[in-house]
Amino acid sequence: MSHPLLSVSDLHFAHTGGKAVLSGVSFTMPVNEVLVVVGTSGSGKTTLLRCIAGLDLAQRGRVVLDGALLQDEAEFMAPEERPVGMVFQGHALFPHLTVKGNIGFGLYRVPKAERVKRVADELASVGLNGLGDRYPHQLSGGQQQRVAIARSLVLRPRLLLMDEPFSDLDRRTRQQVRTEVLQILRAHGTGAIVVTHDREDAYHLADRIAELDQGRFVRIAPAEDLRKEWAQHPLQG
Amino acid sequence: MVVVVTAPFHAPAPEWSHVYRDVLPMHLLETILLLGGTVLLTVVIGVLSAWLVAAYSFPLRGAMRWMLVLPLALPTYISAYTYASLFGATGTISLWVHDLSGFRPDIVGLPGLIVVMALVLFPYVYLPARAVFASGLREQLEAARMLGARGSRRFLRVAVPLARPAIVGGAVLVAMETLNDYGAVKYYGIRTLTTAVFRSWTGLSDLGSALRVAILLLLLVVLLLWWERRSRIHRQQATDAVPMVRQRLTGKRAALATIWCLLVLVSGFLLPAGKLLLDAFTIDRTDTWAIDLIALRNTLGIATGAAFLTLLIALFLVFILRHERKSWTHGLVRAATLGYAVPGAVIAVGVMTAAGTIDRQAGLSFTLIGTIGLLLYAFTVRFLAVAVQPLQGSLTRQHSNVDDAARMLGASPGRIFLRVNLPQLRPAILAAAMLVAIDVVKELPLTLILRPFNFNTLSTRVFEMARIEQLREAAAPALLIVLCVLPPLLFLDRQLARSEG
Repeated sequence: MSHPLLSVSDLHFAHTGGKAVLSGVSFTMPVNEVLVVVGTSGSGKTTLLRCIAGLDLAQRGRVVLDGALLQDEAEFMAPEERPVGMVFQGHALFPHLTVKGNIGFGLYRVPKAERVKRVADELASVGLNGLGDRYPHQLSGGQQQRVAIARSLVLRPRLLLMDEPFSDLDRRTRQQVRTEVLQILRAHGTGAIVVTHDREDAYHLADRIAELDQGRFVRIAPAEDLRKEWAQHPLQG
Repeated sequence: MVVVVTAPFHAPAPEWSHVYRDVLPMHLLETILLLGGTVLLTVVIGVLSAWLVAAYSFPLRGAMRWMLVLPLALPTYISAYTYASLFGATGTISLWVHDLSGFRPDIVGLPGLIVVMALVLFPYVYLPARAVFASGLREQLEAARMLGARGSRRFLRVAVPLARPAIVGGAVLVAMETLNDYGAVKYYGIRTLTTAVFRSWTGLSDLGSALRVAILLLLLVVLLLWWERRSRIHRQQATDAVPMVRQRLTGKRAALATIWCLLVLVSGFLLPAGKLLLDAFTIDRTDTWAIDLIALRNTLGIATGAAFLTLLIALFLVFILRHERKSWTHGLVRAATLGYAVPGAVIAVGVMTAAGTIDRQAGLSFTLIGTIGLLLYAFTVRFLAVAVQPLQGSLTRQHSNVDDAARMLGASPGRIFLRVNLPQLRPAILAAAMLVAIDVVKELPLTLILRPFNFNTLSTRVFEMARIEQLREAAAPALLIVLCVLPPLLFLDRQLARSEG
């Protein structure tokens, strides 16, 4: 049996002098899976993503991605070294760079001709042809979202982390962008962990859904199971 | 300003052709060289220090964060005198180096002055850059990290461009302080437009030529303001207000960061302040102590008076802004606060000319020129913006719903301002008063021109003693200036640090 894409074991995180945010989170993820993490505010969803990204330093636990150790008690790979992409809530686009500048930001070690081609390909793959010279403030919310995704995917990460990726979008755009994101992820063969508090996002995106409560996974189940359950209890959650 | 701007419409005195032909070209050139060099070096020191302190953890970082503000307590002219007494041709260290190696360093000159001024003025860039780096860019910097950018790339490609409006704002303040300086440039023999104003007025006794030179100074200021405004166009300064998570530096990198900050702190503050301390306590002061105390009393008196007067007018202006939300009120406030951009010498000659005209035409039984009242008025013109800014900032944060609620309860605009707005403005009022007082204590050219006869402040006393090469004797009043400025400066920095999170 092939090894999983991501393996997280016994991850613990607490802010300095504060309450534990993650208390022993463990899970594995197969290649190409989209895992959606749901939970109430303060349940630790964003912190989980930040610990996998390396932006927050977990006090305990082991993270292995595609066979490479990212972190354990003795080792810590810096975020900029990890083959992980992240789409931030609010996109975090660079306002002083154009769309092309944003997408090409991480390709600075790549020769210019190749960089230009990869940026153009990525623009096309997220449907932003012709918008490459615009600045982020000249784009709609949905277009900004696609730039944020393209910027991460152009580096061909093994895993994409997405923190409330659709929270800024209106209902209609949200539906459209969600479908597009899923298509892009499938096309690139990239596994993703998507954090959301929105059931509809989870419903449409997930292969599996994990429920996080007070820093622990209380359940990880195939999305189909939870879809059925939620259909029976439409008002909860 | 009207007096200065209308000066060219009057017939020039014969001296003007000499000033125009022989004085102006070199003064303009040296002003531009001094300005360019100082601003460039200040930006390098200020931005790099701010980045280290905001983005990384390293030994002594906590102390460095606030200690790097300390050079602001030193007026440029005092630091320049101290450096000259150490590294000038006859300076203590220069002589020592000469004895050892036969080479005699001499800091007195344009390159030396650029370094000295940058070491004192860099906090004007350091403070706004630190504020933006510490709590305005976290998401963008983390995004850059996730895209594989290492420290230097995050700094150069993300942090600096995004903080550009704040950095340029600080750089413009540095440029204005450089243009305003008189004591340091005079001592280092640099010919600037400010010294040309003094030279035309005191050397040639031609106020008209002084006013014409002042116009050139004003043009430079307008250029600087244009640059500052231009830097903000299409530039969104990220302000997500989430404190930055600092990265821990270890080994060589941590040592380098600590050494850099220590070097800046020692050369910007500890070395000149230490020299002042040493001189103040090692020479016989029995003759001058009483004079210094009078200068201290005068300084505190005018600082308090100017702070009070400026605050009153500033409060009136922000009241108008709050309750008369019309375009003319914004225009009025903008015009009233232009003074901070104008060098002290320009304001002084403008105020003096206006007062002279009033004296002549109104037939008063006393003259306005040479009175404390005129000096306080000139300080108010120059430092009104310093008081308006924190008040306006604080008032903007008060939601207008609160005013509307008070109005629905029958309160008049005056009552709303006094009973609702003003109590919430208390910290800003304190900050505004301190900022004005700090500026007044340090101010030299304006005080030098407008002070009453035989009226010395600490700054004029330092200047006068430096002029006759009694640098060691100038140490005590210089130290008193630093001691007056330090407590409010540290208080203000603490307030700022709290807002940075």
